[in-house]
Amino acid sequence: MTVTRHPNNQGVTLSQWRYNATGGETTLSGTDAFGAGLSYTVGAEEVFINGVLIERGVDYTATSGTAITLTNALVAGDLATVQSATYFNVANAIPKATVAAKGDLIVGNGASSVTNLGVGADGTTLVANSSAGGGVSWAGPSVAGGKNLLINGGFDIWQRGTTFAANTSGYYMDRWNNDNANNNYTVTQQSSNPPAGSRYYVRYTVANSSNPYVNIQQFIETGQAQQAWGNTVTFSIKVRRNSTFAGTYAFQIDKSSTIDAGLGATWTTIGSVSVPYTSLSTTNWTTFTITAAVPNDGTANSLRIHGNLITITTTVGDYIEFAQAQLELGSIPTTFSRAGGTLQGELAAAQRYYWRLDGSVNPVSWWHNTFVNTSTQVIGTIQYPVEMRTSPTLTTSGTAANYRVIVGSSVASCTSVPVIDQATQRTTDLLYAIASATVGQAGMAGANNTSAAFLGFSAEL
Amino acid sequence: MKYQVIQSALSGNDIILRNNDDGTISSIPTDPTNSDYQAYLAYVANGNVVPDSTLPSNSSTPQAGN
Repeated sequence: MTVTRHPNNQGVTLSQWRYNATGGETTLSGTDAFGAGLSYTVGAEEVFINGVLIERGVDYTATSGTAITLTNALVAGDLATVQSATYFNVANAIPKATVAAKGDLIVGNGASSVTNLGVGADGTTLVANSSAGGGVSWAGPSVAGGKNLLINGGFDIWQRGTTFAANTSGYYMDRWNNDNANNNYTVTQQSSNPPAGSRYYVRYTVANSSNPYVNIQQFIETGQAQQAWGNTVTFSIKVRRNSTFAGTYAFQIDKSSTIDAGLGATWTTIGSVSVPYTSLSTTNWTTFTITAAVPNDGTANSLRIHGNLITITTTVGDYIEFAQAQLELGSIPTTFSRAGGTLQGELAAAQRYYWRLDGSVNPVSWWHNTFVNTSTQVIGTIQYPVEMRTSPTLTTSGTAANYRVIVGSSVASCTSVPVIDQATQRTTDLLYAIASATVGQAGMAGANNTSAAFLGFSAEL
Repeated sequence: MKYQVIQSALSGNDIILRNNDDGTISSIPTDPTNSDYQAYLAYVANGNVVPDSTLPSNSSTPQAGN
């Protein structure tokens, strides 16, 4: 029989062979009464007669590994037992000193040979690499489109403009809503010394030191938030300030039971981080994180990232900056990547919520075809670049003369700003009012030689 | 911010016009999933009265609402 003292054949294996003598035997060999053949490691065997250990070289000789010669013959009824342990070769154990630091891995670098693989950098992943000594190596960090639940977390997309005066609240950089109704801050796109992996970031510059409050938030619609239900999520963002900016701030992950919740919804905080301004560098970016459990009980149908900042002592011109905002599944913040992966993917993701035509690039550009519907009205259809979240609101400059139509060979300024006739998630029919035209004539509509003209389509939350 | 309701002579659809504080003008479709329309409904539900009008043809901005 075989007695194994440790699972998985690790450690010492003890074999036992037993034989009932008939009398006169001087050799032990062959198969015992339990079907086990005699096999032992020479020098490691132990021979018992009726339970008494006998002495190697005196009472028996054992040199073959399969037979034992007794000095004295057995008598009938004797029980001969041979036990043998396999060698436990300590040299085959992997020394603990093979690893040198937290996170190191032991990897094979050949047959019966191992080596240490030092821990990888944060966010890297282990990949097979036939050219590496250990056959594997750390790679990345990888840029995985779709892992970031925040669209435009890198502040790459600025369809509405790149500088915003402190005179209104609403959406500035794409997808980010700003409550700035008290003329608190100007908001600008910046590109000087961004964090590694980014080209742009956003700066909030104090414009009103008497009411120093600002918030920045992004609403995540239900179709996106559902990925987080029942999971842990981690929010991360990089922050920097100028030397005289002084304030406290907090970022929150909020939930709402409302489907596709936005402004005006009821929000409940499920995670937050508060950091004093003294923890911020004036030259380097500092990353802050929140980890929170998102319930799967109908109370988190929508999610929101919400940053509140209240300055303590500051003067006009002080600023605070944000970059690389990310909300992802899991409890570990990983390297930033865009929700849409590529720049064009990010733009398309943002255009689900907002897109615009304007005269900023070409103030005399024509935007779409039209025809004259009545003697004072022109109609035309615009198709959006991507399907929008809902039938969008159309916003215009508010000045009718910023818009024009061409009918036949005649160009006419509009007498009223364009309005929607009907809208879907894919197209909007637009109405333009003009002084006079012939019904049925084809034409085009566009900017009336001004960069102020725009058609903004918003399906924001 | 002021609202005005117009009716398109072409489609017959109601269109909500909104004069925004920054001088821009928005036209809002009557889609219940549009957040601007939801805000308009909340505005009306709070007892505010929004004037009706025909589609403006010769004015640069819609008529003032409440």
